[in-house]
Amino acid sequence: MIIVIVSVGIIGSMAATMLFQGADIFVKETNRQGFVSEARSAFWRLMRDTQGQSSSADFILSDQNSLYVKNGKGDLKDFQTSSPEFFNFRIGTGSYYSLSNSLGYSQSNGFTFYDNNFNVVSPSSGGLTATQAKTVHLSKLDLTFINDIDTLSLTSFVYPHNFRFGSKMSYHD
Amino acid sequence: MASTMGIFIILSLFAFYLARFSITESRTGGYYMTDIKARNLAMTGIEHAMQSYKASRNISNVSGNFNNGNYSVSFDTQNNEAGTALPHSHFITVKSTATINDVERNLRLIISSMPEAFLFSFYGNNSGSQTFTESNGTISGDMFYNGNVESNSGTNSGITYTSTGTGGTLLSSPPSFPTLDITQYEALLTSAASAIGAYNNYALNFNSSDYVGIGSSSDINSGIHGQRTVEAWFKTNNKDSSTRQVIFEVGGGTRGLNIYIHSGRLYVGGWNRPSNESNWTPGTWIYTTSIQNNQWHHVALTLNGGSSVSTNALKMYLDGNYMTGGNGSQLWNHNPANIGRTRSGSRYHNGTGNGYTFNGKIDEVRIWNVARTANQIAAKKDTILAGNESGLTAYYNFQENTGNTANDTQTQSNNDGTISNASWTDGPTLSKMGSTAFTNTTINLSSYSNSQLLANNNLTISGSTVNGPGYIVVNGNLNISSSTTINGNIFLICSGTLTISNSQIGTGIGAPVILYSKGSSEYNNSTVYGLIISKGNSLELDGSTVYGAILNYSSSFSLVGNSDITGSVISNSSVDFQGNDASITRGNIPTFSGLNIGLDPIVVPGSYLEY
Repeated sequence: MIIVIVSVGIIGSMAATMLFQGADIFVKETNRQGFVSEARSAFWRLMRDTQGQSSSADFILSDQNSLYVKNGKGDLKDFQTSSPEFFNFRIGTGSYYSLSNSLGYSQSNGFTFYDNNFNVVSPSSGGLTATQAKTVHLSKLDLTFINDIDTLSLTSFVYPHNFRFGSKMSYHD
Repeated sequence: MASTMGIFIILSLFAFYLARFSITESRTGGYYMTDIKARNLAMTGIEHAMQSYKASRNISNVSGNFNNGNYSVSFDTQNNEAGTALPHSHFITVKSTATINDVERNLRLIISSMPEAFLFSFYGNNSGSQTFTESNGTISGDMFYNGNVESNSGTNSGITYTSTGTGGTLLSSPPSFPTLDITQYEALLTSAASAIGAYNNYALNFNSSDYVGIGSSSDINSGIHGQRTVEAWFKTNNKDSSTRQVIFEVGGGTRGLNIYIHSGRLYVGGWNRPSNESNWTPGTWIYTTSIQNNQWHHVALTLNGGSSVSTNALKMYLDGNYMTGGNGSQLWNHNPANIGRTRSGSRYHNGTGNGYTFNGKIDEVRIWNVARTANQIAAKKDTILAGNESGLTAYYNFQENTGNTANDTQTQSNNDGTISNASWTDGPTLSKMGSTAFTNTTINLSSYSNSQLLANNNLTISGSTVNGPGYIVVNGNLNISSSTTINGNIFLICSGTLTISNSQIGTGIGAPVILYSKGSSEYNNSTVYGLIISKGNSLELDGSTVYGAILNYSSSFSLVGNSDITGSVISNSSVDFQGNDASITRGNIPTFSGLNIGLDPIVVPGSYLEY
């Protein structure tokens, strides 16, 4: 009888430990999956909208922490990174909403711009000037997302499709 | 035991949820991948559509599939994807939709059917290094001049130009001068250069006892003939004569075929009377009354008979149109043929007899050993033959214009005719015989091979209407005058001087004409819808209106009197306004859908959009 009670106790203890570990794995895995999905979705959205940039002139005011794009329909979108962990987005002049709260701001290089010769176009204070923006040929997106012990760095060069067709001029409208 | 089972169930539930998360994550990744594939597939559709469009501005929908996805592309000449009107008439929205499973991706581009320079009212390339000093007339809309512009002249930075304008600044990156692919134009001119030149058509005049006798031949009369076509052009002086007028006859009282006029009717007849043959008796005579005195007509008789009489074996065509048909059979061995008179007795709708002569002119007599179709007859009646056409067994075009022999100019046998008394005269002017002039007539280009009227000589079109689509290609000078109307979707191409006076060229922006001239061009008091390409020494518009575009390579380009251009002018040189009434205004340009004009379309920068 005693032996049975002791055995059941041992087994129960083991089961409880296993349950705890399973629950822990479950919670952590859920969080990790959520983190990965959030980071990937945010970066995916950033890439796709940058790919749709209408004209290099529309990069005006962009800098390391801000990216302004305007699509072929004329919709203005801006992406902002800010300390300590925010990556926000808005359409037009509406309110910002968060794409991710897991940004590693200090670990991210943000947005970089290159000209025809693949030289970096360094934004002036206040962002790219109109003249600087027109020289942009290529952009680089480099964001790092951090969640507890997980770090996810995503980097991509983006050459907008519209840039293949030349520069947009006033007489095209 | 129960505890163990409970633990097992709980662990299984965890395992299930973990697997579910894994699947969810995998599915999310799959959506990203499918989205990328869908976008790439939509771009494939765009590429497909652009290739389709580039060849001849084809705006038919395009579709396709790849792996598990489908794409479809449509063209909209009016609006963008949101239903908003496009900014220029020659802009077109290309919309591509790709679907893979339940993922859909839409892309759109806006293309210009014309090169970028055509977005300006006036684009001067300044090949002569001239200063733009024009002070007459008006240019309205964005203008570019690749050189100096005097301060009191036009501007080149998108400011409206007036005769008192203030000048402007040179664009830092102007569009390039358009590249014109002349391959098509030059190929057509090469074809015209090998076409039949000016053709003086001769014929024979018959009266009294005149005729042309054709010797006995197995090609024509001896042996059995089941299939036969006889064609001729004729002009009768008196269709109402009660005396039979025989145009053609072969055979005699027992077997034969004939074509003749009697009392206002044109008859076609045939017979093969022996009862031990087909017993085609008394024969068949069919007729039409649609003939006029002193007017050239084309008549064709076809026979497609067997060993016994069958219905509709004998047919009659007048001026390329089917008239009527009747019974008939093949012909057994019969007597030789005559043109213009009976030879050895014949049969008619109202009796028999010999010696009946045609009173008028006959030309282009053709005998075929096949029953030609209606389309074949219509296609060749207005042209001369090469002589080697399949089934052609005798061909008398009466081009000798002298002597007593009517040469058989088909190339496979020799059945020359002997002329008895008939005199030489002028034949009909047929539309495909290298005419030098069309006056007060209608030209249907669809009646020409490949819809191309090719002339290896100077050509004049006066007081006429030309219906397309098609091409008029002249290896020489082209002169269009006196209220001539050239309808839409027609190319006018000439190697020499192009002169257009008091005429309507094209009927609207949607029905344009393309004019290509390698010599000097002059447009007087005319209206043009379409594209003018001038490659000669000079281009002059005098009192004329152009809706569309001009691409000028000439060193001299002048607008005289009240000449107005609404659309766009691209000129290798400057423009000379010879008066204040002339103007160039930025306006609508045709899309030239379905036409290869030699100019590449472009994608409008900034127009790529995903949605």
